[in-house]
Amino acid sequence: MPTHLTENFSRAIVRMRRAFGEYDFDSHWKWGSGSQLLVGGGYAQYILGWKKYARDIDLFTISPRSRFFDHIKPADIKFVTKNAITLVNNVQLITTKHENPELLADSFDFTMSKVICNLNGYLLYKHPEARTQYFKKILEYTGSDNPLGSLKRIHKYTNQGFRLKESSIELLYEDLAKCIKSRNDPEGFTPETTQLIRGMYDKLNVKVLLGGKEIPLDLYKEFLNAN
Amino acid sequence: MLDQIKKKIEEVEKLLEKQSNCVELLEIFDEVTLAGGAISSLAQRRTPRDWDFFFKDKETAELFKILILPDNAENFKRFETSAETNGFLTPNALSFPGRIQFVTGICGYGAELVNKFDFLHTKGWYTKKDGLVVTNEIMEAALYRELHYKENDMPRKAVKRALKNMRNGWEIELDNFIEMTMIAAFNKGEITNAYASN
Repeated sequence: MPTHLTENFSRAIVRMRRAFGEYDFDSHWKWGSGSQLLVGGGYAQYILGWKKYARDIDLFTISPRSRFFDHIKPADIKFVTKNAITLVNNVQLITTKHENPELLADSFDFTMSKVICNLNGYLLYKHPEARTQYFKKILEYTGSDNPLGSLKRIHKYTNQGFRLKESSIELLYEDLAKCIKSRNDPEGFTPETTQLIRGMYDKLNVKVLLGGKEIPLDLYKEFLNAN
Repeated sequence: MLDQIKKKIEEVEKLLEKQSNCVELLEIFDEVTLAGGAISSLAQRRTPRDWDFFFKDKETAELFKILILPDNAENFKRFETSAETNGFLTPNALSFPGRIQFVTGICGYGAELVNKFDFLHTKGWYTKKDGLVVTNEIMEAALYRELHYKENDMPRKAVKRALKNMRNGWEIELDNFIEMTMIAAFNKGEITNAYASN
């Protein structure tokens, strides 16, 4: 496997050392290598030299659960969500687990983000289209359990000049519709945006009374369209 | 801004006179609404990409089409005009030289018409009777290139337009973007052609 131990990677290590200042980070790092702590998405793009700057470091683990996670002191935790522990210094430990780097990359919502390195700077997996799409500024949405989070990223990347692929939009709508129906709890938004999303759940999940039973409005609309 | 609009109106009237000697054409034109991107572009001191004129109802639009088009005019084909270049016909509009477009797919008059539009900056309108109607908010949205989505019948079309405009430097607040896309996700029945919902 080619090594990409670039200056960017060294900077990443320095930042992580800072983030875990109270610990002997290097020993954790070694554990990290042993228990397969991985860097994915935006920060991996940064390590590979694609982008000049990346604010957040997302660290992933593949099963079994990294021992690294057991050594976080509460003082270093900024906040915890269902899928991640966010530490000081913009380091995020993603707690969902995957069998191997390819499956981990598969779980990412955009093709250009499907890049995985390990903590020694080795490129472990790269989607064949990831680099091309990144440099051509193509945003291909490939599905997500958290389409609202993807929507936030679409907003960000479109502002940076990325073009959402036409074929992605329908899939995004499908995932969003599922999310609205199941009222997924919005994560990673400001309280105002969270409130707006919950309001939209109420607004869109309208039900009609049919034969004394409550039927979702969109199902009823589909029935009317079909007939 | 108003001078440019009046100049264009005169240009269209001359074009119509040349195109046909039917006086009813000018009578119909007296009641059209100029709306859409043209007023927003003028507010930004840019040349409008299209000057869109809308008819008050479907029947008037249909009559206008019959009166102005040559008998052999077909959809998605060019047709002869009195000007040097040809016009183009689609199911939703008739395009004439000089970036003049008569929209037939969506109809309405003044405020009732622009209420069907998706973004605030496109809600300015002009009619011969009422003159130019544009609020400070509309002008500000156009000047500062800000997208403010107002719920309408074609949210999926609005999402596409928003994504395109954002790449061209327009801004939309994250909350408004989320709201628009969530509405679009739930709007399966939307007809995807521009101006085709009526």
